[in-house]
Amino acid sequence: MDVSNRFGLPDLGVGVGLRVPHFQHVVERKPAVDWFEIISENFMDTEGRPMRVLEQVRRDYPVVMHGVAMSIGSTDPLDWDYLKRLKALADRIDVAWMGDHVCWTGVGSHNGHDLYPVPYTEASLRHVVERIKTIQDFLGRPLVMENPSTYLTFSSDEMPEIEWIGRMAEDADCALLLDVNNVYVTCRNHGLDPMAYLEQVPWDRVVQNHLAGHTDNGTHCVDTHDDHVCDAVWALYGWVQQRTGGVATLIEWDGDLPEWDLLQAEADKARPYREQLEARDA
Amino acid sequence: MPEGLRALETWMLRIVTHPGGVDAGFEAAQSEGLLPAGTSSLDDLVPPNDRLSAGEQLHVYAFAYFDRITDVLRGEYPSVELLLGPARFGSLARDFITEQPSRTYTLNRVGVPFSSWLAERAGDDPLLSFAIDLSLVERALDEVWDCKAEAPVAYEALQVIPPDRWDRVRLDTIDALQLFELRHPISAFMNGVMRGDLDGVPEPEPSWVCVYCTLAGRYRIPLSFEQHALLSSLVDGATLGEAIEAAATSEGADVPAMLAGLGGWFRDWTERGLFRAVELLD
Ligand SMILES: [Fe+2]
Repeated sequence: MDVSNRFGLPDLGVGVGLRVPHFQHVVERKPAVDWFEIISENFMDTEGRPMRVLEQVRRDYPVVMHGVAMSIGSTDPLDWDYLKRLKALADRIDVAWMGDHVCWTGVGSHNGHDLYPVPYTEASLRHVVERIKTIQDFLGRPLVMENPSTYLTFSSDEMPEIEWIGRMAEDADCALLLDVNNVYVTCRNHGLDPMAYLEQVPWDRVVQNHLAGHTDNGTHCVDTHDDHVCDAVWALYGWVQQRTGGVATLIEWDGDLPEWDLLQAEADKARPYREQLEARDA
Repeated sequence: MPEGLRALETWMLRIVTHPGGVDAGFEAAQSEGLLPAGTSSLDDLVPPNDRLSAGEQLHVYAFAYFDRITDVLRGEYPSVELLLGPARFGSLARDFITEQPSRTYTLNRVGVPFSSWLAERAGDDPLLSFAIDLSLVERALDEVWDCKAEAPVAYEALQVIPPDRWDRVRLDTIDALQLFELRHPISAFMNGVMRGDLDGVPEPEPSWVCVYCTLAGRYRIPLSFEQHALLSSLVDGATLGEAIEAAATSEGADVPAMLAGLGGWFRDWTERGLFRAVELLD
């Protein structure tokens, strides 16, 4: 496996999200995907079938934990009860790595259950960096933070998103999950050039890619995870894989979840982009 | 904590979670003094672009807030939605989301208070009163899913106990089991929902239900009054003899039918995996 990031985290290959409707198929057939990603919060409070399935899956595949509730950008205090349970799950399952999104999900104890954009300012940067450092110290491992899809910018923004994220990664010494679809959606929504965005990514910190489908409303795109990855995103992904030398790749599909075979076929579409790398390296 | 970031998160959440929409949210935030000094319109907070106004950009989040949680409620309470119809369910969901803003970190728990919230507002509305019963059972189907999956005792372990020892035997029920005494015949309705051939709303009539989950899956089974009485006593820790005695002396119990059915009932419950241990007291 290629190890090209500064954290020494492996290129796990091509994976998909572990979702309830596919439990039985995955456990019984052990399908040909390289690894699974779980939504951390769906397995933190259960001792039932989801946990039994996860333990079984973990025996056969590497597992990555990807959360949606850390709310790293929130000005509410860190939720230590949540973080303790997150760590307990990571240790129990012996995950390859774990992370969350560059976002906030609520404030004043009111949770909006969305990935709200952080204003890209010096003050928010210091705030988020401190919180990532605190959490990394507690977890004893680097966090892998994902660029979000955003639908607005703030008048108070002081720098472009990718500059802010790059500085966050550097100052907090964390890893990055580059969601290529999110780059596309965000750039479309804010009239930016996705290649210009990608040119500024600190590649030695990228340990994972996400790919997903979105909904194009004409006036704006929404990150719906309910469709095939579009051609433009595949093209960006090809460039990203060349640039990184290959990083673990995951297909996110949540809404209108298809039958397993269709999901796996979507994941397999990523392989030619990676085989080109292997051919180049050979 | 950076005050500017705190203020931004507070006004944004106020605006995108306001039940009256973004403009009403802006007015509320303004009258509550949540906006930065000098703010006269949404454009001062969120720059419009060549496709979307500030309000339209914020609306993406406002729409997602109600839509996402309503979707969760729909997934957890499908029979309630079928009973009430999508329009009434949607409007109830919106009221619920507004009156009980989520304080939990996970979407998986957002719907927990829905039953008790319905109960508070039902009054003497017969449809809502039926909906409460349905919601209790659907809530339970969710809760047992996350209970520890346990190895059941075999029926043979029960067969070897002579009837004269029943008062010294305790059958330990699994954690993933909940019993209900309801005011409406929910089983026929929910079976109709599952089959997709809804045949009107039945009149109020007492019914008893058991919801449980094993490694094989989660289930809802109708019980008779006597079966419910028996299982309830066992869950409360009574011995087998005490449970039979309690059920037989319950007002309205059909004792001959119960005594005739006992053997078959316990065989069925044991084979379903409702007991995790047989304890002989001495
Ligand atoms: Fe993603």
